[in-house]
Amino acid sequence: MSPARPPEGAHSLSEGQARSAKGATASTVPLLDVAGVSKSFRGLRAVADASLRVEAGEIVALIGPNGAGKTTLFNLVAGALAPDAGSIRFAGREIAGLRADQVCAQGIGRTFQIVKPFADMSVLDNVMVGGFLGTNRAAVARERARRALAALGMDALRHRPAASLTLPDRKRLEVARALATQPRLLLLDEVMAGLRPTETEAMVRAFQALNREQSVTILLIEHVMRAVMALARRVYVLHHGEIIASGTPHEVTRDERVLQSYLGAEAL
Amino acid sequence: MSLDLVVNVLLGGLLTGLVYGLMALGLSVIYGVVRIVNFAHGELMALAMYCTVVAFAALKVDPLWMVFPVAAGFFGVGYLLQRALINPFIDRPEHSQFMLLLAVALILVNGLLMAFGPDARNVQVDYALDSYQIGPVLVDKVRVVCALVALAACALLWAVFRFTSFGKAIRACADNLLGARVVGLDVAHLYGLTFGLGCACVGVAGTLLTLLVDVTPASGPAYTLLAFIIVIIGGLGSMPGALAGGVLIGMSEAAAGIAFSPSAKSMVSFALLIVVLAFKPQGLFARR
Amino acid sequence: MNDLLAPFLQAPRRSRNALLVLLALLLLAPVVLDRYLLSLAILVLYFAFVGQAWNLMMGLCGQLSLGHALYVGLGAYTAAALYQHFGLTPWLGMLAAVAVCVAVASVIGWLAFRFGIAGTYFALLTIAFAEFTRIGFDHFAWVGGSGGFFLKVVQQEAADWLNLRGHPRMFYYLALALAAGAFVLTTWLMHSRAGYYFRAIRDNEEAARAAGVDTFRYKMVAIQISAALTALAGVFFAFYYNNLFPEQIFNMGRSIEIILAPIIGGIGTLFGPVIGAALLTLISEVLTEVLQALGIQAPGLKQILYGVALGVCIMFMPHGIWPALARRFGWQRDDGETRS
Repeated sequence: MSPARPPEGAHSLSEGQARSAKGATASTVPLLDVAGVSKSFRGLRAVADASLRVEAGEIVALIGPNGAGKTTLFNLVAGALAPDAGSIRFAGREIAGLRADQVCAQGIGRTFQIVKPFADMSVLDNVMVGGFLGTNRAAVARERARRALAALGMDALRHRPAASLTLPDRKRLEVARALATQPRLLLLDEVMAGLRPTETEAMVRAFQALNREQSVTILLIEHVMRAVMALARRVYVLHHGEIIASGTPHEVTRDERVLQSYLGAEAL
Repeated sequence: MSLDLVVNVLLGGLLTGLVYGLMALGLSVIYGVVRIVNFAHGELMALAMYCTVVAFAALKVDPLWMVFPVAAGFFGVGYLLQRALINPFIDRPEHSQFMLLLAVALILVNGLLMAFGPDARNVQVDYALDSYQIGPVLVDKVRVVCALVALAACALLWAVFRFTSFGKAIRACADNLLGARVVGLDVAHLYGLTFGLGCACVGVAGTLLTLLVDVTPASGPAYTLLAFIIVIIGGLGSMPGALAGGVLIGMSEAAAGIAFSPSAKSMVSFALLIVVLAFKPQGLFARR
Repeated sequence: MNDLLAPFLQAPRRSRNALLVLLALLLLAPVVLDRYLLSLAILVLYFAFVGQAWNLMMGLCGQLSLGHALYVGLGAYTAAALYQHFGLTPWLGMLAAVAVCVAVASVIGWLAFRFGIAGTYFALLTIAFAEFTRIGFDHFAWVGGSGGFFLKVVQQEAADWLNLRGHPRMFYYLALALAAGAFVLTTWLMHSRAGYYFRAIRDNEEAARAAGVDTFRYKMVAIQISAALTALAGVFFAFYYNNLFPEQIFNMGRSIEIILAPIIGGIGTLFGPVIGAALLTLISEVLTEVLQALGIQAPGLKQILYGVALGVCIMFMPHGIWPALARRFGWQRDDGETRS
């Protein structure tokens, strides 16, 4: 199984990705195309016939009340779970049913809602695990790791044991680790939760930079609406496992069904 | 090999298996609630066996009467063990808990070795050679009695969990630990009770087994392994599974004893374990 | 090649010098040690080696094996049988031993990892295999069954390196080579992709998968490497002790012996197994001497003390002695990270 990604080199990220990203947009094949995906757990429908698309270079948000099935959908895309029905195409390739590590090799990086750091390793080592994708040279992995850490402003923390980080820093660590795998699509699961406003701003700016300068496409699950408004070009709303609305942030936050589903959502 | 012999042997295995089932039940209960793998289980049983042997040698107490003091004593031992030693370890990683109980097991086994030496001991009661005749089948009286007592103990345990308030509280802990804490249940105490109950089971099983087999210090680790095999085959946390697994193992051991050689008995049990782990790792009766 | 040497070249000068001095001392030891102390040193090196082999699986990759005696036994019997029955030199017998152990480890790994059997279940599976093999070998007449398998013992001063017969000095250097080799291998592994992936699997398997680690494959690699190294320990055991009994070599007590050193010394560290081995052998010998001097015949007392040591260690120093020492002496980087 060979990953569908640009060949390795010291500065591999920007050019190759930008090229293929532009190419994808030009041919209107969405980078991520989720069609009619369903998943049930012992009779409980977590995701019901959900469809969404993310074009290369976009930042798209997935919102919805708690228990709507957002993380399950992420797990389906990332290969942690296999869908009961439907198809998931990434850059034109069907990836439904692939293992999580295979999906990562295809170019999708993800974070977890409940952070999962490698507690007994240092910050740098944590991110290097991601950096080793596609190479077995420690120097290359370290280089990628440091760049990912720098993108999130964490370079100074790199020798600290991961277990000693605060929660916001652990969330940034998750992102850095996913980033080090040089993904074309980044799945971010509630990375803004628990951050102070200044920290949220910093994260938003970091993601915007990543999106702009390194053509990383982003699909994020978020409750923090200010981040959604600032980042997302389009928004999907999930409720009881179904996509009930999609559109620009402004459209969606005024949609009747969406407001009802949130039963008094956060301030717009 | 006549049919009668085969039936006799298998029936004997079934009855012994019920006692094994009681032993495994204790382990399953502990795991099902406290979520700790009691690696000292067999060693505790060996301890119970030695207590019974000593009581018989010194006071001529019939093991069947010993069941009561042993059950009570081991309940206390289990409770103390849980609260004093194991509770602080509840949140530690699994292998740490494992190692701790391994240490306890080591100390127990070698303590028994130091106290009693390596030779086998057993209990010879007057009715040891009596048997019942049911049609063409000849069945040892001791085996039947032991099996009945084991079943009674299992039934009692089931009743405790079903009908008493602390039984229900324990089940609540098993189902939803956070909820139980929120509701104000004293989880440490309940865990202690559970471990106590598990140890009581193992104590009773041990007492009964002295009527059926010899005991040596090495029996401890052997029974720990056997208990695990039974519980894994039956399904960790499943009460009927523990009994069914015990019967299965008892019968296959007996069958292996006559089909191959007596020392091959445990090989069959291990082979069964490997087969179950390969094809149905959650156990034959699992519901978790 | 650069990558292979990197960890050693990049180590701080103080550590490198200390290691070199230690190596020199170890190389010269047989000159000054008497036969008894030499045999002790061999024991320490043996347990350091086999502990490091186990440590690779557990400390580095997080897979708890409590049946490692299986590989010692299989390795020992394979090489011994090939030597005794076919006259095959142990250097080739070693290859066969490694092959056998890697095959068995692959079976265990495949059974376990395919279904995600982890933690306790996995440990029990390893115990079951070891016990199964122990009873099996009791009936294995070709290698002596329960009566034991014996290699021709030749009392000679000269070292017969081809057949591994000779003075304990030869075995000392062999043991030293094994222990040093394991040390080097572990160091190299820890700095390689496999090492990073192993530790990721140990710390959080799901997150490792999300970062692109093929966890099944790497767990298999871990168990195979560990088994291969332990096989070598078995070969050493066979040719050093010259007699093999299934009851002794496969039994669970042996498996526990193997894990005590790395646990007490420090799971997952480079120096842990070495320190643990040294400490345990020391305590064991001191204990034996004391008991003999007092005239106390207490079979099992040593084991009880092992149990107590294990319990105390797990309770108060769960990471072992080495990390605690390293913290005490400040062998850490400024920002608080403990090295090796």
